[in-house]
Amino acid sequence: MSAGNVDPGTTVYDVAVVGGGVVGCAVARLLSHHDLRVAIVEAGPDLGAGTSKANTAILHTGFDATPGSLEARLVARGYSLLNEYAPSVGISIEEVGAVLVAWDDEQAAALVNIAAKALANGYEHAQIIDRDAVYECEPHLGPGAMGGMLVPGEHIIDPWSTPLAFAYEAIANGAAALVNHDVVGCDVGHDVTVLRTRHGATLHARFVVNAAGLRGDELHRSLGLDGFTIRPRRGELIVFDKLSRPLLNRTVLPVPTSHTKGVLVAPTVFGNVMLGPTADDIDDKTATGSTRAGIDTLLAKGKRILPALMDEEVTAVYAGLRAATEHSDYQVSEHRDLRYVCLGGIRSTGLTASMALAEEALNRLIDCGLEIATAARTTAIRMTPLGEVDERPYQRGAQIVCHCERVTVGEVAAACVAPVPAVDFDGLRRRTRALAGRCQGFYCQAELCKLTGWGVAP
Amino acid sequence: MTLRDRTVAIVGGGPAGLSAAIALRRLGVGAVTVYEREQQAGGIPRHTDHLGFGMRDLHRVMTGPRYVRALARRANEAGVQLRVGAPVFSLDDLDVDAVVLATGVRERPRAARLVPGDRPVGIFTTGSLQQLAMAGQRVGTRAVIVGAEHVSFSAIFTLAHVGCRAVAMITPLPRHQSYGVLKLAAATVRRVPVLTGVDVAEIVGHRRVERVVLTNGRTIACDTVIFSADWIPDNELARRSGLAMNPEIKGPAVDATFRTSRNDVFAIGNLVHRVASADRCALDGRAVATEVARSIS
Repeated sequence: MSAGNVDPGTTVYDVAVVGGGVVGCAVARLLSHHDLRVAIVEAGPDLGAGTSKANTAILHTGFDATPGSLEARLVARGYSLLNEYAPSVGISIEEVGAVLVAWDDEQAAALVNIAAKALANGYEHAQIIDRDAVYECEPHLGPGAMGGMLVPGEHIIDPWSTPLAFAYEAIANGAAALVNHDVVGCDVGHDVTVLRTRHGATLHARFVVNAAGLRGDELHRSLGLDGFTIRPRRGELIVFDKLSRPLLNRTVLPVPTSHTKGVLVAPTVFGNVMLGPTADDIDDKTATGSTRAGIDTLLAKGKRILPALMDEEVTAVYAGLRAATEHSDYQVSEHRDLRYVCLGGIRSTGLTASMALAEEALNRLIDCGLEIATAARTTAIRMTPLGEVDERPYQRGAQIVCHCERVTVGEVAAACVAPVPAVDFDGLRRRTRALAGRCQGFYCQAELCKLTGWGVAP
Repeated sequence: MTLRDRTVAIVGGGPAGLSAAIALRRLGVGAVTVYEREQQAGGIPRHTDHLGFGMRDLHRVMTGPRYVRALARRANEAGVQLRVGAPVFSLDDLDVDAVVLATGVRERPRAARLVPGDRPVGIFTTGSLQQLAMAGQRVGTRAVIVGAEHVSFSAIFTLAHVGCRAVAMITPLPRHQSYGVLKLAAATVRRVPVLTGVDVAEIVGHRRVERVVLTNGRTIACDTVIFSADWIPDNELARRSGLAMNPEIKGPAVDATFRTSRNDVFAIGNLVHRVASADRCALDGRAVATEVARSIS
């Protein structure tokens, strides 16, 4: 299956980007601005449907990154790039800000260090506030906050439209998006690398970018390289009903540790409140199920942070796997002899850093010998915004099919003929929000079957 | 001003809303408009294709679809303005003398019940199952039904209708919550074991449901899970309008005349009862009409 303009069978691509998550799609988008034949090569049936679909949907300033690390630099750069790009193409984004809350003396004492770290990362707007100011900012917080730090630049963003916008733009510029192409091995030839897929297809490309996320280490090893091993870090999240949104003004962050940013409570651009994530290191790269222990942990933390949230209905529970490694930093490298660039170990900050990782990949591809035309070209694309603060089609009187999320018949139809079309209800949900609301299909599942022609039987 | 000059808006065109509208017109209210967000009025009974409707209000025994078609016809005959495809997002958009909220209930889906596990295809509520069945959609071959209320037993028959066998019905309660005759029918005709005092611990399956693991450790192979009952009022409009809520029901708090905390706003049907039968909701509609008429005359 392919979307885009090129026949995968006969083409020698200039660059094959393995992995159609937010990072791979960002890379393909940037490459497509140049006179290059580009393919996104995705193992699954849809783009943005792996790690990229289950995150906290926050555009981070990078205030708490490790100063001097590659991640710190790329998060800061990616923050600026995506902050500018998102509104220009209709990806919903809101500058709600964040407050980091200290819940004990030790955490309160740590705030000074975190503020210094923010400065070291070039973020100058963090501001330590006292207990009263914390409650003034967030009146519904539970008792026991000792103080906090405001990070006004933290944004919330639509995480599903972001990779799709990148891919749609790449396709508009001539790139191909190949789904159900699970790359299991690469043979590096003199000029061309042959990528072999699980189902026996082969692809030819001069250069290869590894944006394979959870399986990036496997692709890296298949090229005879080593240096990092992905150990998935599972994060479970609970999404609360939109009626809970007034309980929160901004994202409420915990004091982070080296292992995880911790459990946060954040508004979403769709108008929900999200609680999570947990951080469990596991071995199974497919274990995206939620667990009783995870849900109970989150509810216990949520009860302390925002007690009134516990009276609200839960709309969704899900889990995502971050591509964590034994290293604390991203594993980015270029290999001139292999005409190969690796973007490995892109953990939870991948959404924020995606556009900067694309720049990094392009520069390193050039270092590997990729020539690019000087004149860049771009085709403007436009997404239909899905956020609460954006104007949406239902507000112009269009017929609604999903009432919880106010998704119109026209939006469903458009998703089915998008540059990378939705092929199942999961893809439809990420493109339109249909079925993502509080009733989870009680009212509209049958109608959506009728509109899409898809069934629900095995 | 007489009732003839008065206007009433009814939000929700199920049995309660339609019955209220008919009664208000019969009492002489000049303009009665029902706002129904779906393309057809009728609410949940539209998809409940079995007998048992209309006994208390129309004194007949009908199927759900026939029952609400009869109500819609009566509404038209009574001069009710029935607007379909007409969602109401804010009470501020309605310029009327009184509003009756009749937005009904839904079943809590899997996530709202905090059931852990994978998120494969094959997980439905009874409501979506009934709609899928009426649309001629197949759902699967082996289903586990979660819940043992009246609607859960009706799910057995809906499943059979689409060629799906109910392999177990489970409920955390010590005993099932339905009428004995239905349980007998389920147990004998369909041979569905009812497991009480146990709940779903985990749903397993990558693309498609493969099995459920129960809290007692037992595993049941199935490709479909039906989450039934566990009703919650569709309270969004009531809450966004700032109405005082009944924390137990999660619908708006009402007095004996169905009046909410706002003088000109009434609430009826399962928005305030949660698990009443359709004809009882319809009787609410008749009763509220008298109160609304009194309050605006």
